Amino acid sequence: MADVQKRITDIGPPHYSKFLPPVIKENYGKWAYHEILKPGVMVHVSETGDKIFTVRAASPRLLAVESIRAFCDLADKYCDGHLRFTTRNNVEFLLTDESKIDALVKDVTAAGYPVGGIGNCISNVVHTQGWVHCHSSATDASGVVKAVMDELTDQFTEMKLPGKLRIALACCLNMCGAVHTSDIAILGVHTVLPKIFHEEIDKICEIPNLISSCPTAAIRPAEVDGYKSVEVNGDVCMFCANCYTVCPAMPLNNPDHDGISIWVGGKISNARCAPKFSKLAIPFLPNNPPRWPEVVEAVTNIVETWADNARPYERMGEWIERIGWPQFFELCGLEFTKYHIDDFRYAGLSFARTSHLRPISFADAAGDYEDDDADAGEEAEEAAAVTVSVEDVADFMYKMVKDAMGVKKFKSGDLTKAALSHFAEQNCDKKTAKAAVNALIESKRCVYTYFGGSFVEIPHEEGAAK
Amino acid sequence: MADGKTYETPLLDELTHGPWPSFVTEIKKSAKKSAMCSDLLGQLEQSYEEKIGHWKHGGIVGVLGYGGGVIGRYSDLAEKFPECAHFHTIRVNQPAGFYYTSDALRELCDIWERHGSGLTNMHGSTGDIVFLGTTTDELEPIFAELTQKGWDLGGSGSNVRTPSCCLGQSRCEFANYDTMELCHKITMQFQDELHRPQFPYKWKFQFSGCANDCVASIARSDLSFIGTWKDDMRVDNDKVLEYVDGGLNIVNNVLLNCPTKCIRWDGKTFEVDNANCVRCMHCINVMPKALRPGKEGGCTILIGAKAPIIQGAQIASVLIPFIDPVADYDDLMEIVDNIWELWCEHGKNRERIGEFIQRINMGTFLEAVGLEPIPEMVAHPRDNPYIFFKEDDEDDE
Ligand code: HEM
Ligand code: HEM
Ligand code: SF4
Ligand code: SF4
Ligand code: SF4
Ligand code: SF4
Repeated sequence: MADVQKRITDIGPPHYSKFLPPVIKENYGKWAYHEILKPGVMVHVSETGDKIFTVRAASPRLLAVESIRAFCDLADKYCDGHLRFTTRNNVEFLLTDESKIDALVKDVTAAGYPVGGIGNCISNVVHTQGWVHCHSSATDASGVVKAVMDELTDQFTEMKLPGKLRIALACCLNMCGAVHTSDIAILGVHTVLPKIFHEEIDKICEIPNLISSCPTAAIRPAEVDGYKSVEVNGDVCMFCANCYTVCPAMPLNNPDHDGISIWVGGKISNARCAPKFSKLAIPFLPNNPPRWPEVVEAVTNIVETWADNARPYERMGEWIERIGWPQFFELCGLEFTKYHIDDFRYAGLSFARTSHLRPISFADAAGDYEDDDADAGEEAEEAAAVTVSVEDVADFMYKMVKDAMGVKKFKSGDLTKAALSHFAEQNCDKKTAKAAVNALIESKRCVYTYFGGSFVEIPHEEGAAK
Repeated sequence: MADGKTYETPLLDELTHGPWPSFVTEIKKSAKKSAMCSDLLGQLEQSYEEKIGHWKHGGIVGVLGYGGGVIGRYSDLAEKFPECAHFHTIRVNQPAGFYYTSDALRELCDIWERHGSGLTNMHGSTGDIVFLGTTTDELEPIFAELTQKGWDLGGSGSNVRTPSCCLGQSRCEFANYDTMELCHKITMQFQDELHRPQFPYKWKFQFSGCANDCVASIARSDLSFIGTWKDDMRVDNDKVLEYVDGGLNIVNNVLLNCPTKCIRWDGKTFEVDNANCVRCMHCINVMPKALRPGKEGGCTILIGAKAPIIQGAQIASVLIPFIDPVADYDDLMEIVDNIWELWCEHGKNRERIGEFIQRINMGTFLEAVGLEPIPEMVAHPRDNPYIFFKEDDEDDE
């Protein structure tokens, strides 16, 4: 065993001080201020007067070692071999010699990595793995990002925006990279029920574990074709793929029904207002590789609308809060649907619980309402004539109440429903049923009682319930 | 070495055009030397045609003794694309602040090229250097070479995930504590917890030097450290006047954006009501030459951020309003220990600390870890009257 080297473990990462440029070592903790000199270039000035210049460029995140070596060559040529990466997958070259900046910028740009991402602009896109590496993806990651940023590269290399704009993409609800607090979040979504491989599921997965993985308790044990398996209640499944995470035999991926949703107005920084989650702008766009035109159009539209309307320093979410969501949907030309209204736990917290509304919310809404009413009127005219009398319906109801006395109590809604179905052929409508209930009460054949709920009953002695 | 097949990839080729750097170009660069990358291109093209991924659900692979740091990945088209039948990811713990020398990076590139596809992410979203694509056989050799050269694996699974920080005092004048040193110290202290999963679920530490939170700690770390200061903001009034002379509309762009409206400005003097400044950084961001955080730096610790899975997303909330993480390091570790002890004993499988606290409730959590409830922890006191009074508590009074 002499040639077996002793295994080294738990040494942790190298200490960062091995990699710091001398000017940083000397001025650690002494930086006084910084200035953005031009797009992608900034200087930090120390209390000692020393300066460090930074040139920031976009990487595609997925990098070949060949490209990393090219970065290293540039760092050797201009920066005594010093470089770093940012939290958003940008590469940064660190110089002390101001005169070398322009040549460096030229070389980096020529190598295909745009310089920018500092100040009021779009920085690099934080994103996940997608079809390049992950099993869970509802869409690709790198391809969508590439398509979107090809359209928005100018917003990275220039500083023309009102504030910072952060875009992030996650290819499924696991959201590696936590995209849920971005100005614009692009999120892959599944929209159909998990497929269940009944023959294998009991062999591959622990069924009790699987059942408890579902946040909405949609999964129940079931025997299917003689196999011990599960079934999913489609009414409460929200396509979160928790089940798939714990059990490979329940994939949700579906080429025809997977797609992309767009969320806006999230924010991480605590500057000005508290951090915010991104909110739903577009529930579903199709997966359309290789260029995802629908997604590109949606994102650029939102970016441009914000850029045209926001005040200086206003992030997407701050702008939307100032102008209100109705105006945001209007300005961006986006449709508001039932999917935009939260229906998970504590959904009410996101409802508008105030009368604060802007004039934009008044005119149209009233117009729509009248239109709906008119439609309803027309439908009513077409409805067939009622061929049963109020008295007959009332008699039917009275009999129902009387027969059930002491056994079951009915609410007026129960009586109405029963009447509608009993007299369906006579086209009994709600109006007639309602009139029948009124007739019963007004003739004193029945009374309303109130004990653990309101009911229609035969009058009995006044006093406490027996 | 690269006698890999080549495939027609018209859909992917479309993505080599345009001004933004292309991941397809990167994969093609690596495919010159790696047959695995050629097959990856073939498989990816098929995904683009069919609009579906072709990777199988995880796999249990790793290096001896560690329970994390490797994500197993297998192709479901292994017969068609045998070279990428295995395509495992290795997470390498990055140096704090993501600084490198070209020599160190070349060393990593050489190791990775010898033993894997040559594709990387610089960096994964938690912070690790990600090596994408290798086979099970190569794992031990890579690990041996990495550790020889002083590198180690990062976390994955139900363990401490690789801690990550902003570059802090190394280059940023806003940093209120030494984020890189604290990140490194904690990474070293918890090597065992990082490499050997022993928790109900993942645990992330992240460190930002100020409220700008450049590592997004408040959105995704179980314990988030955000720099702040105790004493007064440093104001250089002459420099404020220079910004104004330079055209800055100080009323619209600074005063009206201050969340607590705690700045007074009479056209000549910029005055901060420090007792009401919430250290949000906005005015300092706008005028970095004129304004600086105070000198008594430290951080606020927040707990419980997470992405939606399982019960819903959470932004972290205040646990400790101010701590000097250097002077009070031991207290900090005691709090972390207490939290882990409680969570490990009572947490359910796949329950992040944020969801755990929601389940057992914050009051119970604080009692169990020995922290006092304080108003800093809430946006406002409860407005729902369903209070779970405990008989014992009432007897005390
Ligand atoms: C003008 C004041 C600011 C300065 C000097 C500054 C400085 C920096 C530095 C040094 C980094 C690199 C950090 C790292 O990779 O570890 C960075 C990144 C970042 N900062 Fe700031 N920051 C400022 C304001 C802000 C504000 C106001 C926000 C958010 C509203 C913000 C959000 C971010 C984000 C998201 C990143 C990652 C960016 C990237 O990698 O491209 N910063 N910032
Ligand atoms: C319960 C929720 C989550 C699950 C089940 C999950 C699952 C996964 C899986 C399966 C992968 C492998 C992707 C691949 O094939 O390379 C992955 C990668 C990764 N995840 Fe997650 N993830 C979750 C949440 C998160 C969150 C919230 C973050 C970060 C804040 C995160 C950070 C990462 C990172 C850094 C990677 C490495 C690759 C990358 O950077 O995209 N994950 N995760
Ligand atoms: S977000 Fe989902 S699909 Fe994308 S890498 Fe993470 S787990 Fe995989
Ligand atoms: S996708 Fe989510 S909600 Fe649907 S069955 Fe699976 S775990 Fe339950
Ligand atoms: S979080 Fe604050 S201290 Fe850290 S790099 Fe960003 S601006 Fe600087
Ligand atoms: S840091 Fe924020 S809260 Fe404090 S004075 Fe400046 S803008 Fe106001």
